Amino acid sequence: MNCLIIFRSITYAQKAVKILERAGITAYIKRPPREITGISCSYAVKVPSYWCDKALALLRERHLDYVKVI
Amino acid sequence: MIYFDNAATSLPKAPGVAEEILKALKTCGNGSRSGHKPAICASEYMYKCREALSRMFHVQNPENVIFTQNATHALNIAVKGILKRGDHAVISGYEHNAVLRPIYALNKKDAVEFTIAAAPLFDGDLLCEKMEKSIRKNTKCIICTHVSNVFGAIMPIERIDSICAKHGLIFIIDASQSAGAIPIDLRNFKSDVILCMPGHKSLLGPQGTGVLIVAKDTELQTLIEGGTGSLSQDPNQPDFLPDRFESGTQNAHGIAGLLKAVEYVNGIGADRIHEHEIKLARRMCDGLKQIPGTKVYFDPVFKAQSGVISAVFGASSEKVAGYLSDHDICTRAGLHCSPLAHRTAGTEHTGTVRFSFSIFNTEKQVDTAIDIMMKMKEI
Repeated sequence: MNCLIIFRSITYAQKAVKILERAGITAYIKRPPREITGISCSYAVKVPSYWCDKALALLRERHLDYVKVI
Repeated sequence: MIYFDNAATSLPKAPGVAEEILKALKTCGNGSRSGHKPAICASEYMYKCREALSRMFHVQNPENVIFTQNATHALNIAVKGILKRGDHAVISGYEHNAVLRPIYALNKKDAVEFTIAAAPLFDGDLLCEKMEKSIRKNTKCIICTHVSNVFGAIMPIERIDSICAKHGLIFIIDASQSAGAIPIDLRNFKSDVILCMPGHKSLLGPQGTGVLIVAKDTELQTLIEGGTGSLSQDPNQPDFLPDRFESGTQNAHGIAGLLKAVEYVNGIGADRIHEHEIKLARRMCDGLKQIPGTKVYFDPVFKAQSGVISAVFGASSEKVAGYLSDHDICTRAGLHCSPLAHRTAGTEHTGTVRFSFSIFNTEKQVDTAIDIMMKMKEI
């Protein structure tokens, strides 16, 4: 299972991937469906569920805002 | 051919730029629009280029690096994004039309006032003094070229930054002639700096690329609004960088080339490039001084001098440039889109012949050009 960290734009999703990869967390960028995010034209960073908490903590530490987590 | 017109656009470009553009043309979709491989390919080029530029200028956040069409586009965003009706700006006496014309237009349209702090060439002390004296209650920003595109004079931007920080002003820097050729470390700047540059001069990238760096969270009004590939259901332009200023399809192919170029320049280092260009400028000055009837404009101690040199000859600047062109030596004559710079330096009526170097020029090329100019008879 994975978690999706939703960002407003691809630039922030890309920044997130770089932060997570440097910490050894494999992450991928996806276009998430609007039905699950509630917003159109967003980008999601897909992370294995067992890494989700650590990933979010890293992003918060680097002041990288995300819209929501699914 | 000997190309001494790098202040107009660099030639040749960094190795691999053309190939990278071609590769991007064959593989890239539209970045920030979809999730498929070609779209991600374009987005990857753009993000990596933001990162490479962040390293070059020591910017903390790559999202503060915004792509534009050229330096003029970046400067228009900065100038028109900051100055509103009734505001005042201070500019140097060496600004290019990319600064002067937008300010002039704002003056006519919105009663934006401006003061030109004109100081003699290479007199950084007097420039700073005049700039500070020109500040009023309604002054919003100081706009200054880092290097004059006509005379190669390096302006004291660190000291101007201190003036801006002291008075709470925004500092717009036109780095058209310095980005990639002189080190700029934004960590050393205290004020709200906005750095504008082209991709196609000393960054050695392709035309159609430019960069705007908003070092801090300075609020800028938009010049254009449109599709950004983000928050599409919201009719408001995004308020976050870089999307706020990147409406429409970006020049991903050009940015791919720019990435290659910036990596090349980062590999050499702007300090070494500057050292090389100064050596050539000095050699050219020494040679030009031997030509009868020639006046050369340069910093006698070469501290505030870049790799751009201007000279006035016995004949008109256009005739001299034409003679040189006939001998396959490329220069630029006239007012160089900087009538203000010429007015300040006193060369408005003659114009100048400008020689501008890059990392790819050599001392041998300078010597060859001097030999040919020594043979100039009545033209």
